[in-house]
Amino acid sequence: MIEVSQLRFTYPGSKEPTLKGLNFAIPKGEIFGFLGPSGAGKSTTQKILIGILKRYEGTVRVMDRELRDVKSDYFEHIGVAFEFPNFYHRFTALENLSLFRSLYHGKTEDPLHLLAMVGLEQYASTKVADFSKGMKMRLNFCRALLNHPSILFLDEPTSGLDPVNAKVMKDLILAQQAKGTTILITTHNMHAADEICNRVAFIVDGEINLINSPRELKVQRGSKRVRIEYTENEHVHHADFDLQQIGANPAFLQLLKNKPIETMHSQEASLEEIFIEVTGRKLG
Amino acid sequence: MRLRSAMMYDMKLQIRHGFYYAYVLIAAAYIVLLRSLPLDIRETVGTVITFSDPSVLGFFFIGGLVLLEKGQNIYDNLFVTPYKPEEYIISKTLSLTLLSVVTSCIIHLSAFGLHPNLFLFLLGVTMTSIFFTLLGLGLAVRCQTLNGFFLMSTVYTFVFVLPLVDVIGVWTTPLFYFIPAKASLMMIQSPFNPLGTGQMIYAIGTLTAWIGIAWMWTRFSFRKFITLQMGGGDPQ
Repeated sequence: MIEVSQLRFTYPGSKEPTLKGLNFAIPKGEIFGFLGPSGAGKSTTQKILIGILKRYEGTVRVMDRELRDVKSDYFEHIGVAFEFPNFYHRFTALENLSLFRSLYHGKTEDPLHLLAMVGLEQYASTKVADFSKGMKMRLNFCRALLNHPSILFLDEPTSGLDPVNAKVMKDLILAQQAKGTTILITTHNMHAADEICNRVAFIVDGEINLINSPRELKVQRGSKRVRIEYTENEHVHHADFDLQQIGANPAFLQLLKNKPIETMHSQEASLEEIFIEVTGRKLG
Repeated sequence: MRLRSAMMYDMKLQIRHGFYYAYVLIAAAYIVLLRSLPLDIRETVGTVITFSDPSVLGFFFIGGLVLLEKGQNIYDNLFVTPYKPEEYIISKTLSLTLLSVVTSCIIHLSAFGLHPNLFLFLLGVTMTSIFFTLLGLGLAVRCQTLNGFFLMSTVYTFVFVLPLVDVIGVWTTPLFYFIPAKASLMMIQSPFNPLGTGQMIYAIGTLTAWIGIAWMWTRFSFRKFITLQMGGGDPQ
């Protein structure tokens, strides 16, 4: 779906390139996360893939078309939700979606259906000025889906959302993936990326340090141990065991049999720890 | 199709922001003023008023609209759809021009009644409105605040409306012929001072040329200050 090779980009007037030779490919139906701190090159990569910046070096092919040659009809096939959900404040939710819908030539979705999908149908006639951040984020997501996009670009999709709304958003993203949509997420929220991305790319200083699935990364780079917390004499204690041959480890089996167990956790690394280890940088 | 829909939403937005009510009030005030004036100066005042309506009002209204949309960061979202910046510029310009032409027409008819030379008059209002709206749009995308826009606009409008001093009989120079307002004023005055063929060609040609220049400048400004800044945040 997306093939990028030796992508370099330098902003006019800047001596240093912002992107220094990126290589990656994203198959259809994948949720791919770009993770990196501010200024790493995430937004620039996204702007190139969206088709806004065209004076790049290298090859960027999306749906078998080189992006520097595409015209505005490319936008018929992609959906974009920027981090900040901006709308016409004086228009209602439905008016805003209808306006954006009218800008497409191709087949579009009924805005009322989209509003119902994100639980905003009763606010269709409410002015966006009266919407909360969470409601605007959901409306922003609806706008990105108006044209049945083959590729969805989401910039910090859970930014500023409370846990309940963040969960709603993650479910909405996964539902789109189930329909076959390819989804690109740029974020510095490791937790959200860990939960929904099939693969992530760590991007720092305009270079990709690593691409892999969050699960593989955590398993490969974590210690293969399990930590057991148990109570003894009204105090909480813990003991660590090697995962290899754990079923035949007498100390482990004894502990399970004789002590009240509080928690059991395998000690895989968190995505955040791996990011710091690989890039030497913190996110945020 | 897309342009028609965009214009419809632009007009709806202008109504929501009270532009139409403002125009009704202004037009009513102008009509009362003009009808209270003696006929000998009514024509001069009418020309100045009719000129100021599409030029100055159009210029400031488009400035307000653009800065409002800039403040709401709506461009990022508009231009990741097939909507082209050129269509945006045309839609905004024509929707405001329509408003100007209708109000100018109502003001003129209420103050002076029906004239045989109305076509040239309306063409003058339309072309003046297109020029000044494009100018206001090109300037507004370069400004961050309404105050900044007002400050800059005094410089821009001062030069372009200078031939007004000729109409009110203060001063004149042949150099005015290079300024689009001279052509505008000739066309707006045409119901009272009919134009010869040469004057007509001069007036329409000058305004067409200035509209062409304003279109290219506005398109360039839009690309530089809006399209290339899209995506928000830092340029990284």
